[in-house]
Amino acid sequence: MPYKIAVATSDGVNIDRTFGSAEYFTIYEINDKNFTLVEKRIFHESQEISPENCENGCDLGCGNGCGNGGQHSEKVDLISDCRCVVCTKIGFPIRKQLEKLAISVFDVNCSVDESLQKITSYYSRIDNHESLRK
Amino acid sequence: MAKLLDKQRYKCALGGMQTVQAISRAIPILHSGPGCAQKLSDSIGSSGYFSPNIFPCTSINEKDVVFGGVKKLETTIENALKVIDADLYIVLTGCIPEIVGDDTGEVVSRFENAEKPVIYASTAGFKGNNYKGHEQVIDAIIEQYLEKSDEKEQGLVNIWADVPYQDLFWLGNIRELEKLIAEIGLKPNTIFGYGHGIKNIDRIPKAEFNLLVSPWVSVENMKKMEKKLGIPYLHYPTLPIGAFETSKFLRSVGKFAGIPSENVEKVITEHEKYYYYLIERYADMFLETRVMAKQFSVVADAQYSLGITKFLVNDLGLVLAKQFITDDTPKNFQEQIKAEFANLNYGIKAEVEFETDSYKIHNEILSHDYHGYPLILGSYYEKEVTEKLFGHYLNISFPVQDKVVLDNFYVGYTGGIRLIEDIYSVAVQRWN
Amino acid sequence: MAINLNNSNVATRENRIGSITGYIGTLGDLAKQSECGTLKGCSRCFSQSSTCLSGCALGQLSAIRDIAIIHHGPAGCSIAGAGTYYLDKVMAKKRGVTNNTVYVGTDMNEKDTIFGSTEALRKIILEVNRRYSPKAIFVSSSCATGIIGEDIDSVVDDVKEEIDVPIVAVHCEGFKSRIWATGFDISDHAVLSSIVKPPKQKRNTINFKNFYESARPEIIEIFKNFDLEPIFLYCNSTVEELSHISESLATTCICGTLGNYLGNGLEEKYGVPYIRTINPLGIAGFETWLREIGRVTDRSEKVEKYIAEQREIYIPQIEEIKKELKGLRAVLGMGPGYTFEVSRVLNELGIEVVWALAWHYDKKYENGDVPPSMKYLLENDVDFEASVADQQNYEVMNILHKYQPDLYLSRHPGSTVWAIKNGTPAVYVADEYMIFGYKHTLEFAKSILDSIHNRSFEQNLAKRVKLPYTDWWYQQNVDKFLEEAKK
Repeated sequence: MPYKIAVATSDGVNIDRTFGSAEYFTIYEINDKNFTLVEKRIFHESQEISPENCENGCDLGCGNGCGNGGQHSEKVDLISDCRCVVCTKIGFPIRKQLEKLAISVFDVNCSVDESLQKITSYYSRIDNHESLRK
Repeated sequence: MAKLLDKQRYKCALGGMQTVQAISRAIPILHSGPGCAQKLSDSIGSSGYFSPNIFPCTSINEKDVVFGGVKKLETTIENALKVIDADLYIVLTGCIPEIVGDDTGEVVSRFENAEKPVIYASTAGFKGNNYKGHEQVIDAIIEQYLEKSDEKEQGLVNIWADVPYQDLFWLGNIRELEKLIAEIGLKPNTIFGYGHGIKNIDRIPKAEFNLLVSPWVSVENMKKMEKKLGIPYLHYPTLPIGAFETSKFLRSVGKFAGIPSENVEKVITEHEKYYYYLIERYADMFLETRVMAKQFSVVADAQYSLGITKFLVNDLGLVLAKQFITDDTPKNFQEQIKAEFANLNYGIKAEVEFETDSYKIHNEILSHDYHGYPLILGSYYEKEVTEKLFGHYLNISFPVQDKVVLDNFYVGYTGGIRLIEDIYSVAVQRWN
Repeated sequence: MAINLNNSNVATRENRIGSITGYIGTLGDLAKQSECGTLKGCSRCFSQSSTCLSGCALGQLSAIRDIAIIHHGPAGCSIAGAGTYYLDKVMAKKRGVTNNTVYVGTDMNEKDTIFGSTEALRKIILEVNRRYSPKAIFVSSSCATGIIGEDIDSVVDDVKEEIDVPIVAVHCEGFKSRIWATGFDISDHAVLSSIVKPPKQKRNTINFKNFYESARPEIIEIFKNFDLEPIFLYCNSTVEELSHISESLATTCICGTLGNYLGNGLEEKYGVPYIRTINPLGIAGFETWLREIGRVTDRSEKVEKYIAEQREIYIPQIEEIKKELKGLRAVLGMGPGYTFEVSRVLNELGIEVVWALAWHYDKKYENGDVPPSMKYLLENDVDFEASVADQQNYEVMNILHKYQPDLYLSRHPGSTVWAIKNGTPAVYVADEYMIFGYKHTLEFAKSILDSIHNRSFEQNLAKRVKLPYTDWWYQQNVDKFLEEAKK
């Protein structure tokens, strides 16, 4: 079954954006291990809830997203139809919001191509009950 | 092939971490899931200088599965060297990194110039059980740490015997073996337990020979040392328990080491005199205890099954029912071990079965006619089945729940006496 | 958060409710961040070994009487069966019942990891069923089977036709979560989805989730006062008993981490109210808990009468002993179900908590609330240093070294000894009922006194042992290895 992966990259070559700093996500569609770039989804800064709303609770580097319980960050909504998101780093609450939507997070430093190869191969094997042995 | 492991008596190869744990100031670094160490440790002597919750661990998660865990392994080793005060760091791999293909050897090689030695052993759970894991750890030390020595120390002999922790008596046994070997004029060297450690490992290459006291575990290690370090070995397959086997053992070692036989005989005579002084005083108890049949079964690994069988037959004159070996002995050693069981006084031959399925073992015990109340020496699993037969039960093999052992031992002359004490402490609790 | 009982895979606790295994700060801060949803879990670049979720999951299930656990994996995974055998035998003996539960492994080897072993697993399941006729069968996966893609769900579905008792796949791939308490959820999920049946009639029973039922006789006596009959789960439970727990008037639990999933599941699916108060530890805990049970089961009057009687007996004694405890300083390290509960009791007894470590921290419970134990502390202005660390011994030692408290309290095997090596008296809060109700709160206070009165053992030992960490480490801040995720 086809699925989508959201990638945080500024140059299309390397994973070089944290979830919070990504201005847009490049969306790839995967169909049986073949991946195609389908679109860029741009995020508008003003949409995000500002951390100041959250008293002083953010000084531990909360990533972003003091989205008061249940409510998703709009950035999460932006990619809610993806199976996973790939970025360099991600704040804890956002990760949880994503995971509640069954979206996996891979925080890695590598090329877009490498990450897509590895992740699609992983999903393909898991879905087909194949071994991950190399 | 996967098989039904009913009431299991061994762990997986990663259990080799307990072998590392038995080497003073050596620490395992686990490249595995977060809970492997806890699962594989028993609360038996587990709060020493290092304990399982001290062991550094990469605690592999899903991202490591997809992208590899080598970077995490590198930082874990790097920080382990900073935080943990050890002499030797042994990286052990669990199932996941070996299946997904993390190159642990490559990562470890980056620490070649670290202040302390860092080596690694492949101990994925599916590679075999913890007897195998023990061998893998010793192999790693031989292959990656030890260098051949031109200088030999006269009379120095490395002793290898039980698998630490899997064997309840490992510490006491190895100390008693050292003591006996020293009495006949040799200089024992062992790497496990108190006061030993890296300095003893460093002495290994200087030994004149290796002495292995075990039916099969570590035979491959001995061969490897012979090849790489040029150290010949004496393989003594029976754990010597009691006077008969211990005297035989000392004669064999003496002969191999070229010690004048009168020196060895002198030591033997002294020991046997005291041993039989004790036996004589209690012989009436052996003969007149109403509640003990002459027949017994041992359910244990090859080491204890063979050692105890020889003791009970050759020293105490008991009679054999079937014996069970539960350590998943490799096929190529089974014939040799069977031959040892056929080598008993008065041409007595023991029927022995290599079996890991306890359901079958228990059925055989229950259906055997012991001609009275049997004596069963085995693991905790044999407690209930022995109770059903109104027999006597002693917990001598893994898993152990009915006995606490700090440094007690069954090896040698004194060890034989200790085993008699334990057996009859059980027997005297009943009148008939 | 809706619980989906149709799927054999429980999302790990980290996913579902935002648990955290790396945090250092104050309790107030931890709670505040928890409420506004900003708390960040930090990943470590150095960690020590902790616990596998399969231990919690299968440990719970294997305490049920006369069932079979089939742990598909290498021999190390299923070695828990050895401890289970012992525990089942001694627990049943104490209760005067028999337990023939079996816990077997499959001794997976290298060949199996290459060619797969589902056919062997199928045969093993059938053979176990033939040998023991268990009342239910739980088939568990392991890291290795997860990685090689063994489809245990299909094998279980496949044998269902040949086996006429409940059989269920239990997913225990250890690498999926670092929070081992998830295992409790996994076991509850298995019980809820395969054993519990819809209610036929309501009964005067209350489901009581606990570990080893040591206070069973006295709790039965207490509940007689309210005309309620407790059903203890899962130790010595029978499959028949479990099939009826949907008929109870309420569910309660000695430890929130342990009972959360079952409690919520029964409430959501069958409308059995789940008692969500602070735990019945200490005075406030016991009373709050009893009153909620009274309210939910419509027995408030009886409960108030009982409380009044018991207070008269115990409160004066507790007040007396408090005089001796005053001024003591304690550090504690336990699961989140206990850390904040025990902190409250220590506060009640006049002992100052200087640092509390929780092995992980549930930001929110299943129903989305902040854990009640935490809420209570905040409402009563109790604040102290707190950290969330998944059994990281090196951090505990660093804290003990810096604070030199009078007392360390812990609940996990193998942890107290390290405090003693540091020369700090330690109390092992092993039994879940050690601080239960008035009576055990008094006993707990007494055992603390006993522990600090005779310090010979720890002094003797501390003088003679060297600790396993480098001097370098003791000079570092505790949060040295918490990697900050930057924006």
